[in-house]
Amino acid sequence: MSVSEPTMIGLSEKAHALLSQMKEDNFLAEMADGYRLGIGLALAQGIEPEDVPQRRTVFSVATIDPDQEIAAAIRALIDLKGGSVYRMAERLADWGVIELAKRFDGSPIDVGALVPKSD
Amino acid sequence: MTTDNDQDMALAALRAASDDVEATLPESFIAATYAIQRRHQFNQDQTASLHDLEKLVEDHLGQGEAR
Amino acid sequence: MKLLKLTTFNFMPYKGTMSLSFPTSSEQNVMLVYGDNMRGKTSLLNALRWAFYGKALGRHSRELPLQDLINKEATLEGDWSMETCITFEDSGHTYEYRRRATKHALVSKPSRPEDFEVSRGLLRDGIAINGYMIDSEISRFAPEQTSRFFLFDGELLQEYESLLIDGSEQGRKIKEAIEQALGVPTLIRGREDAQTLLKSAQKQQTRDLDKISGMERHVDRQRALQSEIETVERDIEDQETQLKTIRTDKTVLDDFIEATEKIHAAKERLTTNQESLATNAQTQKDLEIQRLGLMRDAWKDLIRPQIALKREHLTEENNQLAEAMIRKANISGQIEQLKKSLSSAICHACGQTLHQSQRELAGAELGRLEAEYLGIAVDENARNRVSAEIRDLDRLLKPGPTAQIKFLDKELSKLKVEQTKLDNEIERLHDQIKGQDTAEIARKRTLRDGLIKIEGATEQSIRASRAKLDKNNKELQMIAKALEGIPTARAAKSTQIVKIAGELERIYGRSIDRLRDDLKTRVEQFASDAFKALTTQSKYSGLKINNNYGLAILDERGHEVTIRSAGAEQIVALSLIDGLARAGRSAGPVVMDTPFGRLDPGHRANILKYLPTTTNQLILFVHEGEVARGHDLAQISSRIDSVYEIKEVSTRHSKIEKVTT
Repeated sequence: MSVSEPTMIGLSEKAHALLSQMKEDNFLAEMADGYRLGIGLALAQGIEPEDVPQRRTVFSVATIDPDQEIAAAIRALIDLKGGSVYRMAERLADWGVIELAKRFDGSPIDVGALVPKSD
Repeated sequence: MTTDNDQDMALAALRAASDDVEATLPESFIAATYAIQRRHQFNQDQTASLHDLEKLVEDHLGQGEAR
Repeated sequence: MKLLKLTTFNFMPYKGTMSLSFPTSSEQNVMLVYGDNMRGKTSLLNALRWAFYGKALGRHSRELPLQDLINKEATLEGDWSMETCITFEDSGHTYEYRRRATKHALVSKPSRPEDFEVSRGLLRDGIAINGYMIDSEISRFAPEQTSRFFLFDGELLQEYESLLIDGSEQGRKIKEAIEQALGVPTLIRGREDAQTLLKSAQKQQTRDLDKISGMERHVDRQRALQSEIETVERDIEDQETQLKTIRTDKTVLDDFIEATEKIHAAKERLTTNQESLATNAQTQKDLEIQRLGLMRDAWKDLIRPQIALKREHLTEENNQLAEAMIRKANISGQIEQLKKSLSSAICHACGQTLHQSQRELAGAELGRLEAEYLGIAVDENARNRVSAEIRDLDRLLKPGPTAQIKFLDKELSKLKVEQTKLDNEIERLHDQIKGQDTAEIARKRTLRDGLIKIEGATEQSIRASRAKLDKNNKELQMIAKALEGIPTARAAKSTQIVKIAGELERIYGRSIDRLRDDLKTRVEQFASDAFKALTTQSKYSGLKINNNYGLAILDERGHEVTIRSAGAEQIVALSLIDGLARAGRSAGPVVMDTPFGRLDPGHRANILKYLPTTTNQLILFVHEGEVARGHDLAQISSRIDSVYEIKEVSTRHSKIEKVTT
């Protein structure tokens, strides 16, 4: 039986506040960019985070993942065990955004520092 | 200031110029006009030299009439 | 003339009384005064200038106001009196010339020359000379017009370079001074007097001829010309007054512009830097926008290694699936062959009949193959799934924006560094121009440029008026010539005066050019002789003079040397001074303030040897760097009468002490 995917996804209040601040500080063009970056960071770290507490809906799936590339990445790297790929995306994003805020703490996001060094 | 040295040179220049323009005035008269200028050379007021020149010319004409 | 003693009271840095005695012997005719910069050397020159002419000069020969000449320390103590006394001898007479300035009783703190009372007195052999005769008496020994060659400011040597530039304002002034020194003005004044006499005689002639019938045509024309000449002369006078005003205003503006040049330059740099800063800010903004735009897909670069590894695994899986399919297909083929062989009892490979044992073997092989075939699981869906996953991952593996973001980060970093530099420079420039009215500076620069144009137009106008004047005068001459031929006209006294004055005017006019040419030739010769004695370069053959008394150096082939060092310029200028001295001035004293500034030891030695031979008294104000007491003076020690030194008592007070005799 295929699981139903949500059409809207979001963040915890905490992560949402942090993401808004990053946008306000002009470290991001759009909040969606930070959302995706958070997902990427969590995937890169191999994190499989817990469910998002007190979720606040923020984005449509179509906004975040118009070409289903995120879904493909999550499926490739995480065994969903039949679970929803976009609920997983939510959990990854929540963890990732908080992690970004911790790492850069009010400074511009240094993407170069996040990308793993090539051999 | 002009010195005897200059006097020679300026006077020599006057004599030569006199020849150039084929002047009819006597050399002594020209020398006398120059002596007036030398006397008054640093006088700011030029009326003194002009006055002396007018008198010289009058005398010269008077001499000519007498002859 | 010989200077004997200079005494001053409260003059410039010399608070109280200061005295200098000058050398009087013809063999030992050199006096040196040593002083560091800003201690009072130039003030000594000014003391002599003020003593003789009541003037002291500052930069660019601008007159210093009287209130600035009195010693500052004395004025702080309430003493506003100042005095100079110069004693000198000439033609067997001894003179004492005293000049004194005191503030008016009702003025508490003078701030302008008018706040002072200036008095002077000249004694000749102890007998006072009448006040109105003092100037003409002084002019006999040291006329002010030629004072620049007797009281010589070495820093003005550079001015002489402008003589080489035709049409320079500076050159024009110096040329006038030189011609004054050489007596040309005497002839010029002679011509002016002849012209004045001629004009008044012509007017009288017109009035006289008016009374003689038949002269109407000449009279009318003469009258008309005289009237026109008077009008043009008035115009020329007005224009010359205007020109003088323009030149004075221009000089004031030039001084202001020179003084504010740094401010103006700073303002220009400030504007440029502000523009650069604005461009920098805009570029940063643009790059930041670009950078933010790239963040959209940056998440892919974070997971690139994992995705690449996953793809590797999937590719391996895909290959395995493909191998299984191929193997199964092969086995299927083999099974078919064996089945055919068993049912036909003929070997499919060689076409021979199969024996019983061979049939048994084939049957066993068939069974084995069938078992193997059944053991191979081919999952078509899995293969499709894997291929699709690989395709998805290939999309994710396309190059991401991180390299570009890194490049933009570097560029932004550079721009920020540049921005900081610009900010600091802008702040520094703001400090530099703080309090300055840069708008006023710009206004004065524009005004000065405007004055240059007006000056040119006025000069042009004057030239045109003079040409017109000349034309009219020539026509008057023609009429005068015609009148001389007419017996009735010739008889009139005024006509005779016109003839005499006209001839005098032509003679003097012509003589001016002759004298100028003769003098230039003599100055050139004397200056060349001086130059050959002063220069250390044996290949130079002499000097050549131009119309402005500028001198060009000639090499051994007689060609002009175009590139000259600052030292060479100084030697040339000194040669000119000496040439002028021999051509025109009387051999009086020469007082020189820092004449050796740009000279090397070789040239200095030549000058020190040569100058004392050209004058009866040589007084030099120098600093140790110019003339080394030990080495340089040794060469002329036999000619030195005395050496003085200026010592600093405080920043506003210097004193002079005699060092050796």
